[in-house]
Amino acid sequence: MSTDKHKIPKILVADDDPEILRLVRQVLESDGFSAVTAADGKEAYKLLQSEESFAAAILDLVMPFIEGRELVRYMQSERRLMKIPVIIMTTELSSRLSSDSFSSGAVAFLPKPFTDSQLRTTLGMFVASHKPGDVEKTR
Amino acid sequence: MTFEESSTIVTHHKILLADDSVSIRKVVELTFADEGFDVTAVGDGDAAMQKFVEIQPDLVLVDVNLPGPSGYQICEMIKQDESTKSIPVVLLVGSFEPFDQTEAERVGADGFLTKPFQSIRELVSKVDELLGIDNPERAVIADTEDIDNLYVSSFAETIRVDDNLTANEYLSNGGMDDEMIEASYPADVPADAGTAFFVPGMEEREQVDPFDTLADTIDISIGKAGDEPPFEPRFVFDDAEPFPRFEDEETVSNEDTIHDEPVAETRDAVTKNISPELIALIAQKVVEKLSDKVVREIARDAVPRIAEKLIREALEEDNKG
Repeated sequence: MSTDKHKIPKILVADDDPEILRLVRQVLESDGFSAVTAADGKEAYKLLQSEESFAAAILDLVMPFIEGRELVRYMQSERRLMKIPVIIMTTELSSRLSSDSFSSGAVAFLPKPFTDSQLRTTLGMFVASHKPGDVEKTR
Repeated sequence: MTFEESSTIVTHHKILLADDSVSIRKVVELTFADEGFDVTAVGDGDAAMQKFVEIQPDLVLVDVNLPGPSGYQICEMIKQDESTKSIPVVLLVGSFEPFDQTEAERVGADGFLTKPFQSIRELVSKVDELLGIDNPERAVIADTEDIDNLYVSSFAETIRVDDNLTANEYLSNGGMDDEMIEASYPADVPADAGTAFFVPGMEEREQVDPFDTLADTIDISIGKAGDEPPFEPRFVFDDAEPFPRFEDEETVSNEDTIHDEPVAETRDAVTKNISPELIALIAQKVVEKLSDKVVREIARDAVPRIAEKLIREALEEDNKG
């Protein structure tokens, strides 16, 4: 149905830093996405468990209650959540951390601090932009 | 004890989960905790059997490929025992693990689910189905029933409404009729006094907003489920006004009231006989009710007071300056 085709894709953003949430939301919304935010891992998991379908998830590595990496592992226990591409935001990046996160199911890293364009580029690898202008260009 | 902790008392369904995947254990624990279940999760077959005996679960979720006794063996042991065979057992099977459906049927499994789950709701539905739960508000209904039962056991047999009858006997004889109830209320009750508490026979029959005074005037101590008996719940009524004090017997002037017994004695009976479970359930209900309407009412009352206080403080500081 055309309504599904033009439905605004939802992106889950989880970080305990409200400033990051605000900035990411701003970028996502300006690109035509709908940002659903969570302040900790438990809240993020509850949102994932709701009937909402997310086009992608951008999770902070270190969050209260459930860490980003752990959350990715939980997502692997449900087929419908397994399909969601997960981008991990982190201030520290080591090879161990990377391999752990990738083996948990994360698909990309976004080192903090990041710029708007870094966020757009990383997300763009998995989800197409939904800005009305961009949709027109692809036609 | 917090109200959140008290919720353990009203948990009705115990689930035993045996799975060697930490993620599955966490996911199931998180999900079912939110649904009001009490989940005990273990990582191998031996621990599963030990916990099964220990907690006597209402339902078992068991991975077929467990270290120690397999899921099939655990299921068979449960189903072979007359006293436990009615407990539903659901087998969990990894997508890439072999699953023997014939063996599952032979050992009497009540169902199986493949991991990863299509959605965790699939597992919740299965559990609900096997436990005969089809009402999403089951917990609320069950709590209400429990409150009724606990109320009867706590009060009805112990509080005497006159020299010969207990409350239960009195109620079985018809209790108060509508006329008696109306007569027990003060005549000047305004029609819109829906949420106010009235105490028949008080000298000054003023309306009392229960939530205005409740927190300040009643101190309720509640024991945890694991507290050592005897546990003595405690109600402390202080002298703050306008909450009525039960000791004010001399102010009771309404002859039509049913409180023929000295009210203080009734209070003592309540204090001695009320069970901690009942207090916890009532407290939880109160908190639930506080969630919307009452919170708005409290806010409506409190916000102007806080604003007034802040303005006064600001003016005082200005005057000092």
